[in-house]
Amino acid sequence: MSQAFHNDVTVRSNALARLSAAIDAGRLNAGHVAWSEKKCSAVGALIESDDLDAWEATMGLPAWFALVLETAVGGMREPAQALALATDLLNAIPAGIDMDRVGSALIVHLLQDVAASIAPSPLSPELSAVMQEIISLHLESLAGEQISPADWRTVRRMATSMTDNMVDPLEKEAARCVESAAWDPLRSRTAVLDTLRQWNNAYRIKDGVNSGWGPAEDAIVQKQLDDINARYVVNAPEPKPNVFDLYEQHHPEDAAALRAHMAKQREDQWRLAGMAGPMLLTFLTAKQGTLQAN
Amino acid sequence: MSKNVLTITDATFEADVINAGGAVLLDFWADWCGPCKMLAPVLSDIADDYVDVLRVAKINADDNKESTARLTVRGLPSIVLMRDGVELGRLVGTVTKTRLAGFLDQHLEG
Repeated sequence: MSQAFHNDVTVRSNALARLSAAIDAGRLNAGHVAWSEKKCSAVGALIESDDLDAWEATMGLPAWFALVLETAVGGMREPAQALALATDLLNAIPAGIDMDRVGSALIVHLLQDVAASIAPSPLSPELSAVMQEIISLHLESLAGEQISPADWRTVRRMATSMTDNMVDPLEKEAARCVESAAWDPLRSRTAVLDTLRQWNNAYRIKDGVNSGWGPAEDAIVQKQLDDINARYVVNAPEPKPNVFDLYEQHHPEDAAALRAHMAKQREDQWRLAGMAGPMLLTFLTAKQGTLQAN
Repeated sequence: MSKNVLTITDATFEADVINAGGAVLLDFWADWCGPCKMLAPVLSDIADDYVDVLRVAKINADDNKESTARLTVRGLPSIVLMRDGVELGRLVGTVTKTRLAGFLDQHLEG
């Protein structure tokens, strides 16, 4: 059982001061729990380390929360926004509370939103059943029961099989969110993060944000790169030419489309942060009444 | 990053991947690759969960072109599963832990 900020608010204020100093020094950079003398991520700056064990030891907060915080804060376009959001989110956690099982509560919150606001209505019986199964496991965990890894694995396999058989794009994306949630956040640090990302992806599909890029485009690029590699790289003397430089020369329009696709992927990260931050703040604020200091 | 994630280079590829024996999950990444950074925590989690059955290793594709060309890596991130120096399968792009675990179980079980 952990105690947020070790029941000492100066732990929080000192961490935020470290993040502020990193921003002032121009060292804040995107990434996941990254820390070096030259650049760091938001969470890396808060603890001056790239070690999630150090996060738990320094902050008294679970590792899953570090990854979610990193996604929300690290995706802000401006450093000042990142600091403001980090401050709001950490201030929404009362010192001394046990955040360990809040991960399951957040997953349940996200899945309920998928059911209510994203998935085609009414929910298909298959999606509804698997979602309820996974929510039930999280609620049991919240009640203090130990769920075996085998039980999680069983429901995970059921969920991925269901997703693979779905045809409707929106329902399939909702199912991907559900299958991502089939882990215990206490044992799996990325469970909440993956669920959050898939939740965002599902909203992206629902809102019609189509990147215009899919498996067919991936296959075309792959074939072009393979051809270039076989014709110009494999038998070339050292130093061998860069396949992507050659791609720019031989397929300039496709190379431009690939660059645009990568830019949209970055936009997606900003979009996720834009959605995750407010959602997380609302969730934590609502939870304050039900969480008690140890 | 998990202590169970190794770093491999062109200089160590032969010894750590081809000749080492056992299963290795190779993550080809680059510093400029946003999706690679998104995948990093998932790989750390997998490295801890599967520590008894495989080694997870990161290899910088920009700095280690020989290994990248040897495994014909085209897109990043690329995750290549090898056993005893032979490729069992690969995934390209970001992937959830659920899907990565399913991929590993499919190839490593039985």
